[in-house]
Amino acid sequence: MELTDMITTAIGALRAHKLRTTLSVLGVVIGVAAVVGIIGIINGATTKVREQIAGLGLRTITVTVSPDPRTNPAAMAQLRSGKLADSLQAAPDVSWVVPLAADRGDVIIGGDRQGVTLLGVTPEYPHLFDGFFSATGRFIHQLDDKRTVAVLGSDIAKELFDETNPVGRLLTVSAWGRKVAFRIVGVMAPRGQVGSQDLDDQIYVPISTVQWYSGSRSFSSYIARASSVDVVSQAASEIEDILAKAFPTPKVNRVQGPPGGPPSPSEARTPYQVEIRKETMAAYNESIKTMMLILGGVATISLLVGGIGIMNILLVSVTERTREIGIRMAVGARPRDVRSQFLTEAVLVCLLGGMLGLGLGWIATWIGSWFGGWPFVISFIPALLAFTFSLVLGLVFGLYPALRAARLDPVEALRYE
Amino acid sequence: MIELRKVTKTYSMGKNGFLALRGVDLLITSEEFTAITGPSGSGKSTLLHIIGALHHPTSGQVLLEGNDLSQLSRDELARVRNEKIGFVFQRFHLLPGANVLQNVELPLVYAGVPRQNRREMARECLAKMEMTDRASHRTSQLSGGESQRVAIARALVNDPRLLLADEPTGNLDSRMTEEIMAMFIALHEEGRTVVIVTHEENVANKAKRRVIMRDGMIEEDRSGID
Repeated sequence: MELTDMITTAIGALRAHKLRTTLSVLGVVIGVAAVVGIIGIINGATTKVREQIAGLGLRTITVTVSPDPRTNPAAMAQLRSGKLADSLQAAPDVSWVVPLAADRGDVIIGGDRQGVTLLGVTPEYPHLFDGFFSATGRFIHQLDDKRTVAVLGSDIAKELFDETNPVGRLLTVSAWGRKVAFRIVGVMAPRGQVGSQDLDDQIYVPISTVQWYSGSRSFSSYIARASSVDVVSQAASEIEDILAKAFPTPKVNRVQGPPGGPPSPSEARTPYQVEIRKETMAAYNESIKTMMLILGGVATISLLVGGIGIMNILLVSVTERTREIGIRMAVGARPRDVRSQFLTEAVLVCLLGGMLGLGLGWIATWIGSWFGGWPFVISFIPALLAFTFSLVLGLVFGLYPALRAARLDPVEALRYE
Repeated sequence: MIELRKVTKTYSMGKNGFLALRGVDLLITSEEFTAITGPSGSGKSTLLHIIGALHHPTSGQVLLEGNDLSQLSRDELARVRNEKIGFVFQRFHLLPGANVLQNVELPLVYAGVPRQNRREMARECLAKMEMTDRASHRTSQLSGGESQRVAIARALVNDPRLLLADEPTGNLDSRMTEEIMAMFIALHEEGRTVVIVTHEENVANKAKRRVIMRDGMIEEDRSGID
């Protein structure tokens, strides 16, 4: 029996029982729509969760360098001048690198003293975090080199000046064993906690000013930002590669040490540390995995229910069409022709259901993205998946009824009332 | 044409098997017209089903044109039914969802004949049965006699040498019975071997040979005109 005949016969049989066909198609539609919809919704929701987690500083990488000053004069010069930030920024998966110099100090206001964190930064600092910008005034500028200007975090601004606008006022800070008057040039918008840092509770000053007053000459601490949350680990290892070249791990001096003896721990330690927020990252991956598992489970169950529905209806159909099967066998249908006929019917039902389910799934994805406020992305993987799923569904759940039909005895089938 | 050697057939019914055929030896030569008669339960239908490759015998040999049917697989039996045998049943057994032409085409579908040739061959057979004007009718719109003529057209479409009929006139009135029997006689005269199972005297009388069954065995085998 040729394929076209098989398909024509199957279509004829399906059209002869419209209600039954509609119901079995519906089962597949719901199953496939659930799978496609869930994949779409997970993709959308993941994008959103990703954005939210990116806000938690997942993309930031902390770099500290503490080299042996004798090893590499060129690298030391880079470190002193702050040029190391430029070389780190050359890493392909790194979008921003900013050197940091933090110090504690006391703000003197109306005779009271209040402990604060002075964070020496470059003008690029706000780029490290999404949604971090100056709400009033401006941030540190390139021209502020070594000037005593300050930008306040939103909480500390409220604490020190209440609701009044502090821009233009002077802030006396006791730090580095002297009193320094800073001109307030801006107040940041609230941003909250990023890792262990509370961005709203710091006073931002030019890093050159901190270094000038503290007498510290090296830019030894950096925050880098990976270009996306997926490449944080790559970005970190790129940074490590750059640092490994600039600041090689000191070799054990075999002449001085015991011959053949192992290097002592202090000698073997790398002169830099590159840290990413592993726990946050792990929690993020874990939550995505959990979501996938739960929703994937729901989708699998609905597909299974759809499949069982098909099997059920096909079994009824085999019983009801016993005499037809007998007639076909009597005129020369081989058991495998009968089997193929029922399998073809199952696969056709499933493919039709798969296509309709795909459409419905996309609509569900769209509605989900509308309510959830995440982007609606049509991808073709669900389409391929729906097609494959429905084909497999038809073959798996159609097989048993088809085999039953094929096993019928022609004489008994003809006698069936 | 057909040779049965010590054929038995047991149906499993509950714990005890029911012995439908108890060692049948029968030789039907080409171009014979045979009627198988006997009371109900005598095994005449079972015998026809075994000759028609619908059943395997429980034991014994069934030779159709020299090939032993008892050794063939179910797929091979289906091919034998398709190519060598035309079946006509008491209840016509037409597909209710298909029209007359599609019903007649059905054996050709399983023989793998291309669609266009199928149409032509089916129309030819319908013309022979004087049913051309009914080609596009639903089978439910046909009378008993018309249904049986369509069924005969279907049995002939693969041009088999052997025509088997199981009570072909059982559901027909006497006028239709005459008509249908005239067709079988004509087909026999064309050179086909015809075997008819019947319990009607007037039908059995048309055959040149009469095999009478009783309790799963051949009680009497009368050849020629009596």
